[in-house]
Amino acid sequence: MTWTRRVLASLLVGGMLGSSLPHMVPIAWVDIQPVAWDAPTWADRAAITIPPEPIDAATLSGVHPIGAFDAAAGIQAGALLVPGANLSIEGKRVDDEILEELKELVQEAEERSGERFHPEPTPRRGCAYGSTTMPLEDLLADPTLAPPGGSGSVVNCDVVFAVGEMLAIRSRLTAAEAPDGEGTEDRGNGDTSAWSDDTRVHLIDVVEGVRVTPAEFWQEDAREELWSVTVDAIRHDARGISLLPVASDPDGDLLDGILEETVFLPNGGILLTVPAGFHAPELDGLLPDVGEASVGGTPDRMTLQLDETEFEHLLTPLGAYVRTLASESREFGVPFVWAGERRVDCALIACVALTFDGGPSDVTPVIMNVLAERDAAGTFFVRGERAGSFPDAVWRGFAEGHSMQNGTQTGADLSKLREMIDLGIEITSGRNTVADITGEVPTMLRPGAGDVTKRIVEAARMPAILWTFDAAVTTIDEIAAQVRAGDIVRVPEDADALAGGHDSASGTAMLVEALQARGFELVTVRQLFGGRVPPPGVYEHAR
Amino acid sequence: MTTSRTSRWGDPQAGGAGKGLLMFLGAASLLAFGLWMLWKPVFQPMIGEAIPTRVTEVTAFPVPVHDPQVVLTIEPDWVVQRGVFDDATALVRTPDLGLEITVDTWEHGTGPSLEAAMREVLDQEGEARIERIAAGVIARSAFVGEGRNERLIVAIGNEHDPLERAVAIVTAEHSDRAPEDADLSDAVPAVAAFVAGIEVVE
Repeated sequence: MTWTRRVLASLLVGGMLGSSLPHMVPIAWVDIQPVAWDAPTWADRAAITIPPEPIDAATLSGVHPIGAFDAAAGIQAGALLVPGANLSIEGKRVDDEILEELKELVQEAEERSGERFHPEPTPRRGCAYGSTTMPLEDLLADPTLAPPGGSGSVVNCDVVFAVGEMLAIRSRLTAAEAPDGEGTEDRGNGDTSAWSDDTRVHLIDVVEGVRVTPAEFWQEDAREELWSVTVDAIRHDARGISLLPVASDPDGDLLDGILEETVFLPNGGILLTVPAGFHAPELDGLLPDVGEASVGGTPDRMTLQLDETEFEHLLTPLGAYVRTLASESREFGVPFVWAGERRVDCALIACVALTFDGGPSDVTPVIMNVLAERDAAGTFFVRGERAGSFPDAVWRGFAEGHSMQNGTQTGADLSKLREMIDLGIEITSGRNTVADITGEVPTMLRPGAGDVTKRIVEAARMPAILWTFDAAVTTIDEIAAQVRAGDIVRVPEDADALAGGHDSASGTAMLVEALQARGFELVTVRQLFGGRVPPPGVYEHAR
Repeated sequence: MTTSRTSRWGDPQAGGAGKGLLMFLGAASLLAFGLWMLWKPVFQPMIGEAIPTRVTEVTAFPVPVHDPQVVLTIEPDWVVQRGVFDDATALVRTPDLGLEITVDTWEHGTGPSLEAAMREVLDQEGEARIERIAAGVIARSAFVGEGRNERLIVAIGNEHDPLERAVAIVTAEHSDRAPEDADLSDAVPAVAAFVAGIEVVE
């Protein structure tokens, strides 16, 4: 614009318009120049963010993956046990709580399906990385993560954080809704199947031996504020334009679901996870799928990052403590527990007991190496006359959590011993030899040759443990293919060759690998029987 | 010998020019007077506020001028102008001129229903959501288009009107001055604040 035009414009516009537009000062005729301007942003104290990457559970030492599965009952559940966690002040064990919850899920599955639960082996054990944060449709489309057969229920899990003595695990229960349609939801993705999909985080303090839900991190009077900030953040994420403050009362159940997924970040940040289906009056007109016939709500899970400076004062002392811990860079650590000393519920998990007899020998330490490498437990029926030559092997087996039991003194066929006194010597000598080395009296017997009579059982006054499969007779491939939960497998230590031509050590390695690949938990006989010594009798399996 | 005749009144041709000048000045004065007289009642309503104007303080801007349906609140540094020969329309621009917000109104009581208004604008393109944006004021809104050409359309109505008639349609979109990667999502807080400042006149 030339100066003459400027003058004309200012004269004309200023003179004629200025008086009639008291609040406006024309600055140009038509050519308005832009001025710098900072666009406003939402003054939110929380914002939707990308969920943090979970931690690969396989990288953590001291945690043990388990899986409960039964296709007929329609349940698959993965979980992590923390055997090394201390007992709580009340004497409770974290693993017992986890197993108890799994048991409740199994009972629900039984009621729903009308089928009695029988544990089956499953290669899906422990946590599947990212399975608790993926959209429901993706989870249902993945056969390794979805409920068996596309119906029933499934539990997936992720490790949210693992620092120092703290381990946070997010569990996700996805279940087909009741067939009568009660509580069905149309999630608006074209899939009319109805699923419930709930997640929750549990925090395990391995030193204190406690397991808490993060809802305990928040003071009671934080609820209203957290509800408000959640609704506001979702409203803005949905590109709503209302600036009216959130006036609705918190929905207790929805808010509990959010607070139960509180996660602290190493940088001090605080994350909440909003489950799919979240709704509030302020969001009713914004979110899809809200109608008279459906519940609607947010279609997917959302992760909400709080402005920690605004909310840290609302944490309970426990919450503040855990937040401080989470910001430390200490590596997660929990004492290692041998497989044979863990809490295992073989009514939930498909277990098989490997039993060894005829030793100890030079092969015994090699077998124990195999078991240690593969995190498996075994039951060794120690022959008394050999124990004196290999006391270290017996002691090592005991120290590494294996079950060291009575393999009689000489391994003689007890059914052929006519004199009661000979029978008694054979049994008690074998028992005492093991007890002398380990300090623990054996409570189970394996009679030599596997022939058992009522007289032997009465004389032993302890259960006689036989086997379902004998590796000296049945090949490893056949055993691996035919074995079922609760079975007992015999591996003779003194055999030159197992069926199929393998020696005891290499055969054991192959057997362990094959059984674990199918998803069996390899346990001691005692663990197989629920952690108890079965009453005197003859046992070929624990079903 | 020829003597030239000169009037003591001067050159007759020169006298004609002066007369012409006088006539011109008289006509110009008359025109200017006429313009001045007609400016307020005629011209200024036609083009006066069609001139883009940057406000320096919070300014109430009624639309239309007479019998307004809504009163806009224009923040300092924002630029506002009315439609030429159409005072029922206002164009508001952000200080950086990157975002343009058009406000269209109807005469009192003649607006279509909010749903119909949105249907007309959306042309099946988007899905309208509904929100309460102030006490007694509801808005149906929708995002149409994609990328830099995305528009936010908001139909505003009185919540207590049984017919849910629209009183104004607000359309926000990026102008040519906006950067190529401009995202309308980033402008939503500004639009929300602008919409929140719209007073619906009963």
